[in-house]
Amino acid sequence: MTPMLQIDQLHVAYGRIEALRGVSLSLAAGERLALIGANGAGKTTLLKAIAGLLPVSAGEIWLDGRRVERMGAHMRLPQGLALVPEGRGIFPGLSVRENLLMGAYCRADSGAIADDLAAQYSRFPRLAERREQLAGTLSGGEQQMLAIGRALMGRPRLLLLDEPSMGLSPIMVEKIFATLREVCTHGVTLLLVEQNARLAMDLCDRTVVLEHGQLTLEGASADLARDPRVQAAYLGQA
Amino acid sequence: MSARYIILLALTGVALTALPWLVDGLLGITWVRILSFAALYVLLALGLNITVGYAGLLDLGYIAFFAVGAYTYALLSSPQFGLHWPLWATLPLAAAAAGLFGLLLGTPLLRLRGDYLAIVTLGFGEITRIFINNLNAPVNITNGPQGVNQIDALRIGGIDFSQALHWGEVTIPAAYMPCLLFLALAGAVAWASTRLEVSRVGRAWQALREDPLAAAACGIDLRRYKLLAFALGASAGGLAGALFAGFQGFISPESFSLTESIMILCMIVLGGMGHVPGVIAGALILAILPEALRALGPLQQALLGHVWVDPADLRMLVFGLALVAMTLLRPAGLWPRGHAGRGD
Repeated sequence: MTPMLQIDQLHVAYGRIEALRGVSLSLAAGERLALIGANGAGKTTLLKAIAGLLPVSAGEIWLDGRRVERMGAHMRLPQGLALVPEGRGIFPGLSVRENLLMGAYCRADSGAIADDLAAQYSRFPRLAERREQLAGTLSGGEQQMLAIGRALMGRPRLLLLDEPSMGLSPIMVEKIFATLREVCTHGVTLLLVEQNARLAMDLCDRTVVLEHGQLTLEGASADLARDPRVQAAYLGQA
Repeated sequence: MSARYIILLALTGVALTALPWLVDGLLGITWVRILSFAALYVLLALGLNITVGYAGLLDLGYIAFFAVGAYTYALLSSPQFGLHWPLWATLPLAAAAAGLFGLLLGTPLLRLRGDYLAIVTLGFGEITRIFINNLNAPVNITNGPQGVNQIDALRIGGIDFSQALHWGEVTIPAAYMPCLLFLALAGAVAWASTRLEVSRVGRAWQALREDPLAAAACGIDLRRYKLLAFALGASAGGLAGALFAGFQGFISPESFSLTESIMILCMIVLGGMGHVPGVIAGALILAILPEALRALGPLQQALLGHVWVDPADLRMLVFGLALVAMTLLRPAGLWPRGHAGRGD
């Protein structure tokens, strides 16, 4: 079976500084992969490169059997990819409804879009209550819900999430992760970048560790959680 | 399109047509000329509103597109090259030339944002003016600082927009003619703007303005929509420029200074960025204000027996005060766009 996402020896540089130095990974359809690593390890860079928001200096990205690393972001999205950017990245001056509809920008099936809008409202009742409110006036947790809802409006088969727990209260984080679990039951492939390694490894079957632009560890989340190096560096255990 | 919408459009059309008669009746024939200029400013403001208001790309050199349109028209319909092309060719050509210029400018600017974009566009505006100013040697193209003279009047078919029109019993005075043409075109551009705003393109611009990265994450092709905003905004400016050249019969580089760019930007900021009725109101207010202030001279003479403050000085004072007051009291403009319930 073709993997949903396959990355081969990916290099991404900001000017002279190489942020990713030969990253290779593969994600099967329906799989959940956690990507953990310290600040500046290149996690966000990797997600942006996959989504087409950053140019790749070398290497290949395959999306469901298609080579995409030279395509712009607007060409990759219709192929079933969606990114929930770090820090939510919603449109503060647009209403909740307009934000959600923007997630379906690449789609033309207006009937199905209306269904999906209703689906997001039932998934996030808070958003339904505030559908005409400006997104900038929402709380942090609501904005994160909106960002996820907007990404789902594109009917992604591969969902890239950049630190969905950032800056949220523990209760809100729990809610967001419960939603992600539910979303995955619909067969969505997940690539989750998280600082909160425990949460991420809990949700995902497999975990990779990114350090200084290279993958250093890779394995089943349960095994990695017992690895002393991971415990010391990412799980806060001595 | 509902019946109500069509009726509204028709009523607007009738009102615009009646406007010169109304203005002449109430204020006199000089005000018809003022109204003509105001309509040109409305066109310019609507064009800049596409770039700045819709797409959020701050352009401080917008007057360059006005200049490109004006010179395109002037060079194709004046003794300068002995060309006298018809209006149906020159008007679209002027708009297209300005639009092409917009693309040329936009392409290197794609990577710039905010302040950097503003500074480069400002530079571009000045470069264009100075270029036109110096393009009289080695080959004389623009006639340099002397400008282009004896530009053909706006004329299409049998209709000359600088002459009175006799149509059976009805006579439309000469001064009304350009005014009607400008109002019609300003109305058309205003209508097109409102349609654009709620279109797919308009939504892409809105996303781009709000958060470019999130817009890209929604699959919006930033490059394409930025260029489109530059090109469309520029072509409206070019159209206004051609009309201006044909109306004045004379143009020179002086008319295309940085102050004009700033003035047009002030119009849309004052009115309410991104909101067509607000932009029109802002353009009308700032275009008419200086003329209205002229009346203060005789008024001072009558009341105080002496002109204490020259109305021309007063103009900048009132203008500055108005902007300060607006920033404090109505930061989103006099008539901003409401946020909720858009597109209905």
